[in-house]
Amino acid sequence: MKINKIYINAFGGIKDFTLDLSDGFQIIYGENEAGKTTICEFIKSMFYGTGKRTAGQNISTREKYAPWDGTPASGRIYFEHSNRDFFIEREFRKSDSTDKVTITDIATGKSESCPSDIGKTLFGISVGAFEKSVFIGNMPEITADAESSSELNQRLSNAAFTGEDDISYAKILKRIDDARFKLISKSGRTGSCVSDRAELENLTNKLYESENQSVRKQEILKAVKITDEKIKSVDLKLSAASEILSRAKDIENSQKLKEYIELKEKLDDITNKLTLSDGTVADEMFLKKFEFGFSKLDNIKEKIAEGEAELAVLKKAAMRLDTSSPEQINESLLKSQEDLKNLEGEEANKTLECEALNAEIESLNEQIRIMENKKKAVNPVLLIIGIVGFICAGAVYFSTSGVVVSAIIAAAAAILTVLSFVLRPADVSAKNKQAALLSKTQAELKTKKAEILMIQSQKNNLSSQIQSLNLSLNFEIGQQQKVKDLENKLEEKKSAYNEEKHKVMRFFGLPEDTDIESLKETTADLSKKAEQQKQIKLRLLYLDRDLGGISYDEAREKVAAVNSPDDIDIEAQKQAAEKLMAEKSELREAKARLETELKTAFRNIPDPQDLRREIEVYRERVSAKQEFFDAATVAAEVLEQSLIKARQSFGGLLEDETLDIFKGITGGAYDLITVSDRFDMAAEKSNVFGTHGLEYSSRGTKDQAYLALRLAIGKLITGKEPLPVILDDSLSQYDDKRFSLALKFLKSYAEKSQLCLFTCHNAVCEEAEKEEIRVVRI
Amino acid sequence: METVKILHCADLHIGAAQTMLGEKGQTRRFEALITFENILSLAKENSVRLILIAGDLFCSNSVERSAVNRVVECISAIPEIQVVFSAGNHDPYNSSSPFFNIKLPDNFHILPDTDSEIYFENLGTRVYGRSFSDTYMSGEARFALEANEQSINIMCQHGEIKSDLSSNYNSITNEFIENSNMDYIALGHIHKRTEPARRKNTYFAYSGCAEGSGFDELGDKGVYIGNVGKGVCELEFFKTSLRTHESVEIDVSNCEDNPAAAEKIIGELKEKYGDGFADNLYKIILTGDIPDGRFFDLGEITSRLAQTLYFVKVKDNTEVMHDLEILKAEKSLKGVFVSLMLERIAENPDNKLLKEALKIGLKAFSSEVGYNEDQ
Repeated sequence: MKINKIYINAFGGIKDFTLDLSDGFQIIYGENEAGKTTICEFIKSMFYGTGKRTAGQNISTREKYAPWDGTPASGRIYFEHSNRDFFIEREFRKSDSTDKVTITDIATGKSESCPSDIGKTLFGISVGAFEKSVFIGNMPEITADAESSSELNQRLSNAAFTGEDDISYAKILKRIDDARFKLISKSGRTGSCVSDRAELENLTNKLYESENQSVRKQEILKAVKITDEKIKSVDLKLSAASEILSRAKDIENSQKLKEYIELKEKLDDITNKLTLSDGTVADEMFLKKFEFGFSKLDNIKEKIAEGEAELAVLKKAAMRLDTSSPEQINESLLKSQEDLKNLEGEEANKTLECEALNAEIESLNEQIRIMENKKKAVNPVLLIIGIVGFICAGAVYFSTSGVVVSAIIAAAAAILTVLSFVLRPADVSAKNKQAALLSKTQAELKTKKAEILMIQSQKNNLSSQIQSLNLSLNFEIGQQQKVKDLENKLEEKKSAYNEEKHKVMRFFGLPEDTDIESLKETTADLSKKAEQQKQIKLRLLYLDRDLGGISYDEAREKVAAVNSPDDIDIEAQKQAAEKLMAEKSELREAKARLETELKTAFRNIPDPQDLRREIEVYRERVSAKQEFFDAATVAAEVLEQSLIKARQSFGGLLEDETLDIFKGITGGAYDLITVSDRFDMAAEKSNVFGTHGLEYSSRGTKDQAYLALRLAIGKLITGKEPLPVILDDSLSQYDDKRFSLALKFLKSYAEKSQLCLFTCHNAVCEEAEKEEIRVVRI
Repeated sequence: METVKILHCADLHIGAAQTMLGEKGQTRRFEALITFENILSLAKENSVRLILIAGDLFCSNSVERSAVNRVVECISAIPEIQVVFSAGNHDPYNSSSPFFNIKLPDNFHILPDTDSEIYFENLGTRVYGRSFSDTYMSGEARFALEANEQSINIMCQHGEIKSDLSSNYNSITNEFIENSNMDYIALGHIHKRTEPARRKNTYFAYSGCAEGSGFDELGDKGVYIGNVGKGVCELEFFKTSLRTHESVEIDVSNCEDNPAAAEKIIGELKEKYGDGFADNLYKIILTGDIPDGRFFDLGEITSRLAQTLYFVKVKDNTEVMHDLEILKAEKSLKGVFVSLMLERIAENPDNKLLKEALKIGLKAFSSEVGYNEDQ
C-alpha cells in the first residue's frame, strides 16, 4: 500500500494544502511550525479518526487539530491498495463515529461510506499498532534510568501484540482474572459465587430443617387433636356420670321435691283464695292499701275521741271552778286600778319631799367639808416645843459653854418651830354644829323614805291584784273560746272521717255504708293468707335453689322417677366423677403445653415454599456466576495460549528482522540482537563477546535499535502488502556517520515500499540529495 | 337469588420479607396491607356482597399483631359485606393462627380445617371449603358435604389442581371439580392468575396474587369481581397491585454512553407504563449490537435509573459488533485470541460457554470485565 497524495482542506493550521508522495524513501522538509506533525497526524486521522482523549491529554487530538478559523476539518488522501487506486474523503465532525467518511474507487468512481477506522480494514492493524509500527513519531525521550527504558520496551511490547499503547497482555489477563477471582478466589474459599453457593447450602439446610420442623409440627398438631378427642371423651363420661349423680341427687332430694310439690299446690290454693270476684288478686300491695285506708280512718277516729275527751274535761273543769263571771271580775279590776292611781299620787308627793331633804343634806355636807379644810393658824403643840427648845439651847450655852450642843438643840427647836406653821390642825367647832343639823335632816329623810316604801308596797299589792284579776278575766274568756274551738274541730274531724271512709269504699268499689270493722276483719284474714303465700314463696325459692332450678312438672317427674328404685352407689359415682375431672384437668394442661410449644417453637421457622423460592433464585445466581467464571477461565487459558503462539510466531522472526535492519542502520556494527518478551533488547557487537542491554547504550544506539525494532514489527505485522512508513523526525539523535548509514539503509529498505521522513533539519536534506533521495520542501 | 356479586382474591402474603429488594424490602413488606385495604374499598365501590379470600392472607402466623388488627378493623368497617377466609399453607388456621381466640367481626367467617359450609341466607349462597391446618395438607378425594341445589354454591379453596392427590398443598383434581356441583370454585395458592374456566357446570379460577413479590410474578396483579350463579360466571379482573414487576428489553444500540442508555430506558418505560412508571420494579435487559470499543457500565446505568425508579436491576445482553473474520486476521494478540477461540467454537458450535469466553476476552482487550451482581 502507498499513499500517493494528501489534500488537506482544513486541518489544524493547514488549509488547502496538497502534498504529493512518491514510492520509496522521501524526505519532507519543513521548518519548525511548518506543519510536519500536523501532516503526520492528518494521515493517521484520515485512516483511523482522532480517537478519544486519553489519560494525560488536556485536550483531545480532534480539538487540537480543529482548524483555527472554525471551519470543519476535512481532507482527502489518495492511496493505492491491492493495486487499485482509492481516495478517502473525510469531514471531521464532533466525533469519530459522526465523521462523514467515504472511500472512492478512482477507477470506477464508486463511492461508499466507510467506517471511521477504515485503516483497520485496509491495513489489518489497529491504530495503536499503526502508531507503534509504521507511524513513528519522535522517540520518547529515553533517560538513563532503567525504568523509562523498561517502559519503552513495554510500550513496544504492547504495541506488537495488542496494538494499544497502554495495554499489555498482563493487563488483559488481569482484567479477566479480576473478574474471575471476584466470583471465586484463587483459593476457592472466597468470592461472590462462593458466598452464594454457601448461602444456597444454608438455605437447603434450612429447608431440610423446616421440613423436619413441619413434620414435628404435624405431630404436635396431631397430638393436640388427639388430646382434644380425649378431652371430649372424658367430657362424655363426665356428662354420663353427672347424669347418674344428678339422679342420685334426686333421690336425696326426693323429700325436698315432695315438699316442693306440696307447697306449690298450697300456693295455688292460697292464690285462688286471694283472688277477688272481679279477678283482682289481693296481694300484699292491694291489702296494704286497705291497711293504709284503715289506718287513716283510725287516726281520725282517735283524734275525734281525743277531742271529745278534752272537751269533756274542759266542761267538767269549768263546772268545778267557783269563779266569778267575767263581768264581776271586770268590776273588781276597775276599782283596784283606781286605788292604785291614788297611791301613785301619794308616792309622788312623798318623793318630792325626799328630794328637798336630799338637797338640804347636800348643802350641809358641803358646809361641813369647807369647815374641815379650815385650819388653825399654827400648831400650838409644835410651837411650844420649839420655843422650849430655844430656851434650852440658850441655857446650855450659857451654863456649860457647850457651843456644839447648844447649836444642835437650837437647830432642832428651829425645825419644830417651822413645822408648827406647816402642820396646822383643823378648826372643828363650827363643823360640829353643822354636823348636828345634818343629822337631824337625815333622820327626817329616812322617815319620808320609809313612808314612800310603805306606799310602794301597797302599790305592789294592788298591781298583783290587778294582774290576777286580768288573768282571771282572760282565763275565763279563753276557756270559753277553747270550748268553742274544740267543738268546731270535732265537727271537722267527724266530717273528715266520713269523707275518708267514703273514699276508701269508693276506691275498693264497696258501698259507702259498709261496716268498717267487718271489712277490717275480712282484710285481716286476707292479709294472713297473703303472709302465708309470701312464706310459701320464700320457701319455694330456697327449695328451687337447692333443687337446681326446677319446675313443678319436672319435680313431679323426678319424684315419679325416683319412686322407681334404683341401685346407685352415690359415693362411688362421686369418686368416679372426681377422677374424671382430674383426668380432664391433666389433659387440658397437656394440651396447653402442646399449644405453647406450637406457638413458640415454630415461630421463626421459615416457610418451606419461601425457602424453595429463594433456593431457586440462588441456584440461578450460582449457575450464572459459575458459567461466567468458567467462560472467563477459558478466555484466560486461550489468551495465554494466544500469547505463546503469538510469541512463537513473532519472537524469532522479530529478532531476525530487527537484526537485519539494525545491522543495516549501524553498518554491521552488531552481530546479534535479542528481543525479549517484553521487548528488552540486548545486542552483541561485532568482535565483542557477550550481549548487553541497550539501556546501557548511547541514545543514538538506542534510537537505532528501536527504529530497527519498529520497522521490523511493522514489516512483520503488516502482512503481504507493506504499509507506508511515516517517520516524524526520527533520526534527530543520530550522529553524522549513523545518519548517513541510516539514510542509505532506509533508501534501500523502502525500495519496494514507501517511507516518508519528515524533518526540520536541512542537513538531512543535503545528505539526502547527495544520495539522490527525493526531498519535498513544504 | 340467581347470582351473587363476589370479589375473589388470594395470596396477599401481608408481612412477607422481600430481602431481594434490599432496603426497599422493609417498606414493601406492608404494601400488601395497603393493597388489602384498597381491595375492600373496591368491593364497597362495586357493591360486592361476598368477598372470598382463598388463602395466604398473611405471610405467616407470626405476622405482626398490628397488621392483623388492621385487617380485622377493615373488615369490621364493611359490615354489609360478608367475608369468607379459607386459610392457606402460609397462614394455616390452628391454635397459632393470628385469628385464633380473638374477637372477630360478625361478617368475617373462617372456614375450619375440615370440610365445612357457611350459609348466607340473605344471599341465597353457600360457601364451602376447608382451611389449611398446617404448612402441608393433603388433598381429599371428595368433599364431605353435598352441595345444596337450592342455593348458589361456591367453594373457597387454597390449593393446587393436580392430576392426583400426591401434592402437599391440598390438591384437587379435574374430576373433583367436575363432580363438585359447585357453581364457582375460588382458588388460591398459584400466584399467576388464570382466566375462569369451566368443567361441566363448575367454573373455577385462580385470582393470582394481589401484589407481586418477585420477578417471577410479572405484570398487573389484582382480583376478580363479578356475578356468579347457576351457569353464570361474569368475572372481571381489577388491578390492585400498587407496583408491578416488569422485565423489559431495551435496545441500546444507538446509545453512545451510559447516560444516553439510562435516558433511553427511562423514556421507553415512561411510554410503555405511563405516569406511574416510576413506581414499578424493573429488570432491564440491555440488548442490541454495539460497536466494538463501546461498553456499558451497568453499575452507572443502574445508579442513574435508581434516581427515578423505585427499584431496578440491569442485565447486559448486548452483543458487541466484532467483525470476527477481520479480527482473526489481525496480526496481534487479539487476532490470535480470536482465531483460537473461533477454532474451538467451530469444534463445538453449540457450546455457549465458548462464545461467552470469546465475548469476555474481547471485552478485556479494551475495558474492565466483570460479572454484574445486579443482573
